[in-house]
Amino acid sequence: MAEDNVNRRSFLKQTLAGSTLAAAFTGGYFALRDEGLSLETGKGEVRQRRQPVSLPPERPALCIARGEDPEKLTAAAFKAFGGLAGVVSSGDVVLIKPNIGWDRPARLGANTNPAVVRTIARLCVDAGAKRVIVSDNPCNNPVRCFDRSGVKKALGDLPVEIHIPTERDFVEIDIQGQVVKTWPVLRVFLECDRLINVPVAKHHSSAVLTMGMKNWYGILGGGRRRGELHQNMARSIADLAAFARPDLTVLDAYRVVFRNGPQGGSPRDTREFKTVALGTDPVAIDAFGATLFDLAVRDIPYIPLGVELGLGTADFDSLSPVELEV
Amino acid sequence: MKIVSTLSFLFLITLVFGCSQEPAQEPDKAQESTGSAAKKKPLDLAGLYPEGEQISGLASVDRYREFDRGGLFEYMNGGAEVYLALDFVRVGTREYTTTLGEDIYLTVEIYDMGRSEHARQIFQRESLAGSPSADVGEVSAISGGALEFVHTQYYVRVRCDDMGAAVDRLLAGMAHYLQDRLEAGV
Repeated sequence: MAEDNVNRRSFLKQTLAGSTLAAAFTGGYFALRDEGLSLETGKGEVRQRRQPVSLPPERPALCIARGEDPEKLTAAAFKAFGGLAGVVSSGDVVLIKPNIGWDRPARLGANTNPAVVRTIARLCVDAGAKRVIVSDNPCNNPVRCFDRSGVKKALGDLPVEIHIPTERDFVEIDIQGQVVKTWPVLRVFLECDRLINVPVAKHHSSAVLTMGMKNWYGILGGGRRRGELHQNMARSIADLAAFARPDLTVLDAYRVVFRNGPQGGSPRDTREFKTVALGTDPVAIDAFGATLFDLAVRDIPYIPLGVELGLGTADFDSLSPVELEV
Repeated sequence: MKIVSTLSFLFLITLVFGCSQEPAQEPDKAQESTGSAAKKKPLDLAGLYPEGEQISGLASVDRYREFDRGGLFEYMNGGAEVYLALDFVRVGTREYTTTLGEDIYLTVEIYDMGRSEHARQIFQRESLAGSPSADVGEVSAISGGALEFVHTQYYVRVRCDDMGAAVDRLLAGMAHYLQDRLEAGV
C-alpha cells in the first residue's frame, strides 16, 4: 500500500511536470505566433521570423534622387540615407529582390533597371555581407527574364549569387494573411538576414500600379495558382507586404511602364521619370510613387490597407524626405 | 346556373390565356446566317506564322506558344483580367530575332477573342489613341514600335523592342502577311 502511494505520487508528479512543460511550450509557441515572430511551414515546423532593421531617428526615412544616370541616382540616394551602415553587417546574408518578372529588355521598363540592381549589390558587397543574393520568381521563363532584363549581365563581375528559382526552391509557409493563407515561398527569402526590395514602378491593369508592396508576388511559387491572388488583389498585396517586411525599399522609377502594364511590350508604353526613391517605410515609398503617375493614395486600394495594417504612413511628406538633384 | 357560371369562367380564362400568347415566330434566317458568320470554326493559329526567312528583316524564330483562358495569367499576369472579362479563347505567340540588332526582337500575338466585337474592344483599349492607321485588317493602328489590327474575332498585335522607320516597315510586312493568312483561313 505504501508502495502504491509512492507510485501514485510519482505518477502525479510526472504528469504535472509533463503538463506544465507542454503548456509552456504551447503557450510559448502561440506567444511567438501572436507576436508575429514565427512562421509555420506546411510541414508544421516553426521558423524564427526575420525582423526589419530598426534605425536611429536621425537617419532619413526617405531619400528621393532625380537625374540622368540610374547608377548615380541610386548611389546618391544611398549616400543621403547614410549608406548601408546599420542595415547590412559583416556576415549577413542579404537578399535583393528586384522585379525581373518579364522577358523584356531594360529599355522597355518592365523590369527593375539593371544599373540600379548592380549599384545596390555592390554596396552590399562593400558593406561586408557574407552572401548577396539576387532573386525573383518571374511571370515569364526565369532564365530568359534574368538574361533579357540585363540583370544577369550587370551583375556579372560582382561576387553576387543570381538565384533563378526552380520548383524545388520553395517552402510552404503560412502567410498569416486575411486572404493569402498557406503558399509556397522562396527559400532564400526565408533564410536571409537582410531584405532589400527593389521594385520598378509600373502601371498595372489590375492593381492600378505595381511598386514595392506588389513586388512580393515575386517571392511566391504556385505556378498557375498565382492567378488566385488577382481575385482580391488589394488585400492580397497588403497581406504579402505585411508578411515580407523588408529592411529597405528602393523604388526604381527611372524608366517605367506607363500603360499596358505590367508587361508593357513596346517603347510607346514607357516614360522616363528618372527618379530613384529609397526608404524604410514601404507604404510611404508607394505613396510617393503614385504621385509620379499623377495618382493619389485613394486611387491605389492597397496603400490604405497597408496603413491599416500598420506597415507605414501614406503621408510621405511627414517623413521629411531628403530630395536630391544628381 | 352553377354549371353556366363555371363554363363561363372557364371560357373567359381560355379567352384571356389565348390572347396573351405571342404568335410563334419564324426563326430569323438573316440573324442565323449573321450569327454563324460571326462565330467561324477556330483557325489553327500555329499555322499562321511565318518562318524567319519569309519576311524581310527577320532572322530566327522562337517556338510557338499558345495560352488558353486557364493559362493566360501565365503569359500576361495582371494584364489578363481585361481579356478574361471578354470572350477571350486563346492567344498564339511567336518571337523573332531581327536583322535590326542583336537584342531587337519582334513578337507576334494573335488573340482569338471569340467575337468580332470583343476583338474590337481589345483593339480600342490596347492601341494608342490617335495613332495612324496601318491600312491592314478591318481596323488598325501603328505607333511606337507596335502595330495592331482586327480581323473578324482575331486581334493581332505585332510589337518590337525598338521603334523607327525600319521597325515600322518590319511591322507592316508582318501584319500584311498575317492578314493574308487569316483571310485564306477563314
